[in-house]
Amino acid sequence: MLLKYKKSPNQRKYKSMAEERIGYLLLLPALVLYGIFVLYPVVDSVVLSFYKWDGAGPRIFVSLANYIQAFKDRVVWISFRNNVIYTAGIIAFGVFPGLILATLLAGKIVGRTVFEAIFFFPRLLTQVIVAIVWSWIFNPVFGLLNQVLRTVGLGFLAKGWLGEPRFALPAVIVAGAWTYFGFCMVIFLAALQNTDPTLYDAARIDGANAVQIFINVTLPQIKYVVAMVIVYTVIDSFKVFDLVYLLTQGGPGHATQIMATYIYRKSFAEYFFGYGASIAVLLTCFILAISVLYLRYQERGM
Amino acid sequence: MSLKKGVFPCVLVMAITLIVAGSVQAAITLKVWDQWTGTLDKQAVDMMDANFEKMHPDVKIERSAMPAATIADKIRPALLSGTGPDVIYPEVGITFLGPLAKAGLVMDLTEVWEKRGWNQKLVEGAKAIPTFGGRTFGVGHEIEYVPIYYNKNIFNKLGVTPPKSISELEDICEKALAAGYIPIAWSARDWWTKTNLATAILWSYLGKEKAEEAMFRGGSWDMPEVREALQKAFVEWPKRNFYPPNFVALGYDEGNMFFYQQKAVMHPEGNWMIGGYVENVKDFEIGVFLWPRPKEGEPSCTIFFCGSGYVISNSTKYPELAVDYVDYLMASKEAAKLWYEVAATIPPLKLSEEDIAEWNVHYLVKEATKALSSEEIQFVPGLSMGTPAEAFEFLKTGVAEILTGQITVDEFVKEWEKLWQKGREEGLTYDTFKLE
Repeated sequence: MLLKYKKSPNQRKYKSMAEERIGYLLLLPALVLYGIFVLYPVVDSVVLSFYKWDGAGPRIFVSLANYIQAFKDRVVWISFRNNVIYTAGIIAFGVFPGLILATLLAGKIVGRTVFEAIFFFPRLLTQVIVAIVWSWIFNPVFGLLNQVLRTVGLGFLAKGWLGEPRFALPAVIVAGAWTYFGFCMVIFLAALQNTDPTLYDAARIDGANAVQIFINVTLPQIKYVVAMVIVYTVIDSFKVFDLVYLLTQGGPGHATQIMATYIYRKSFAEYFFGYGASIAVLLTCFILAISVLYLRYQERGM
Repeated sequence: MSLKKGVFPCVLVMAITLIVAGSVQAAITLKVWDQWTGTLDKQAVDMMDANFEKMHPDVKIERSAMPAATIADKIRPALLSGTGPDVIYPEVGITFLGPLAKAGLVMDLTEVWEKRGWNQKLVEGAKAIPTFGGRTFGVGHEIEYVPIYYNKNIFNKLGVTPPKSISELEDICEKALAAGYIPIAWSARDWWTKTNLATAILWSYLGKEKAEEAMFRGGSWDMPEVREALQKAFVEWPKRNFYPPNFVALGYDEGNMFFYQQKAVMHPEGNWMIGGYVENVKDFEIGVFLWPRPKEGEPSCTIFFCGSGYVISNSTKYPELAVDYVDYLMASKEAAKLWYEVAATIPPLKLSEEDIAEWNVHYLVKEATKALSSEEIQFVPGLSMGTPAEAFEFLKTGVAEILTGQITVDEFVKEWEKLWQKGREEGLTYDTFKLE
C-alpha cells in the first residue's frame, strides 16, 4: 500500500531555512567581490577624507580640515560651476534633441531602425575614441570645424576651440552631447511605445496641432521617464572624467575643470589623497541627494 | 598507431621540454620600469639590456616602458605593496622622489655613490637633483639644458645672428614676422611646454643667484624680475604674435611641426629634442643659442635638467644586482656610447672630448655636450625638479590662465609665492626637507 507522505510544519520550516541558506551561499561570491571592489574603497575613501596622506608615508588624522579647505578652495567652486554648466548643456543638447528625435521616429517613418542605429552609434564608442575624434574636429590647424568654416567663407570664426576659455567648455559639451542624445532617444522611444493612442486621436479631433499634442498629450504621459533620464544625466554628468580629461585636462587654466578632473589632480598629481577623497565624498553626497530627491518625486507621483 | 600509444610519447616530450626550459630559464628576473618608449631610446636600452644579460647569464631583465606620468600614477601603490619593480626610472627631483624617500620606499644610495666611484665618474647634477635631507636616492640621467634651436637658413635669409639680449631676440621676432614667418614655434596645450618656457624666461631674468635663492634657499619669488619675465613671455609676446596662431590650443607635436616645416624660425626646446630633429629635419641646418639675458653681456643662465633618473626599490630582493644594472647603464663607457650614438641622449658619465670625437654622434649632441661642460654658462635646475607638487600644478594651470587672460601676472605671483611658502612649511622643498 502506498502511503501518502505529508510534510509536517517543522519539516517545511527546515526546508525553507535550507533554501534560504543556499540562497545566501550563492550570493556570497558576488557579495565578497562587491565588498572588495566597491564597499571597501567607498568606506576607505570616506575614512581617508579625514586624513592627510601623500600616498607613500603614514596617514595623519586632520579631522574636518580637508572639508573646510574644500569649501574655501576657489577651484572646487569653479569645478562645481563647470559641472553644473556641463550638465545643463548635456540636458539641452543631449536630452531634448533625444526627445524630439524619439517623437519624430515614433511615427511611421521608413528606415526607422536605420536611423535609430545611426543615432545610437556614438553611444557605443568609448570615450577615448570620442575624445580623439573631437580633438581632431576642434584642432586649430587641421580640424574639420575650422576647415568647414573657411570653406563657407566664415574663416573669421575659426579659432582654437579647446584653447579659448569662452569656447572650451561649450566644445566639450558638444562632444559629450553627441554621445548622449542617441541613448536618450532610445529610452524615449521605448516610453513612447507605451503611450495611449486614443488620447492622440482625441486631441486631433479636438483640433490640436503637433506642438500642442506633444506638450499636452505626449509629455504628460512620459514625464516620469523624462525625469528619470534627466536625473540619470545629472548623475552621469557630475561623474564625467575621461572625455574632459582627454580633451582639455581641465584647461585652459581651469576653464573646463570639473569635480572629477580636480579630484584626480589633487590626488594623483599633487598627492593630497585625503583632500581629493574629501572632494569625492562631497561629490558623492551631492549625487546621492539628487537621487533621493528623484526617488521621492517618483514615489509621490506613482 | 593507436591514440593511447601516441599520448605517452607526447606527454614525455612535453615534460622533457618543460624541464629543459625550466633549467635554462634565468634564475633571477630583475624588474625595471622605465620611460624608454621612443624608437631610438628603446633600441639603445634594449642593446644595453642584452649586454647586461650577457655579463650576467643568470639574469633576465624584464623591462616595462611607460610614460613618466604613468610611472608617477602607479609607483606608489606598487612600492607600498612590496611587489613593484626592482629598478625604476621616474623623475628624481624632490617633487616626486622626496615623499618616496621619506616613506622609505626607495633605497638610500649615498654609500653606493661613494663605493662605486660615481662621485668621481658622474656629473655633479646627477647627484644634486636626487639628494635631499643630506642623502642621495637616485642617479640623475638625461643631462639636459634648454637653449633655443633655430633655422640657420632662415636666419641667413633674414640677415640676423643669434641674439645677445632679450631686446635683440624681440628684434629677430619682428623681422621674422615681417618676412611671413612664425617667430617662435611654441604650443601651450601640454603642460611641460608651459613649465619649460616659464622656467627658461624666469632663469633668464633672474640669473643663477636669484633663481637659486628662491628655489633652494627659502627666498621669495615676489620679485620685479619674475613679474617682468612672465609679463614678457605670456602677455606681451602673444600680443605681438610671436607664437603660432591659436598656440594655446596646439599640442606639443603640432607646435614642433611649425619648426620642422620651416614655418617657424626658432624653437625653445631641450636637447631631448635632438632625436626628433634627427628624424624630422632633412632640409635645413639647425643652429643653437642660449637664452639671452635682458641686458647684453650678462652670462647666460639656462635650465639644467636631469630629465629622470634611476632609483632602486627598498624592497628589492636583489639590491646588489640592481646597483650593478644602474652602474652599467650610467657609469660604463660601453653604455655611454649607446646613449650618445643610438639614443642621442647625454648620459651623466663624464667623458673627454676625445672619447666623443671618436663616436658617431650627431653634431647637435656634440654641441649640447660642449655647452653642458662650459664654465661660462650658469646652469640652474628646472622648476620641475624642486617645486612642491601643489605649486608645480599651479604653474601648469596658472600660465594658461595668464595666457588666456583669466588671471593677471600679479595674481599669479602672489599665488605662486603662497604655494611655495606652504610647500616650505610642509617640508617639501630642498631647503626644508627632512628625513624622519
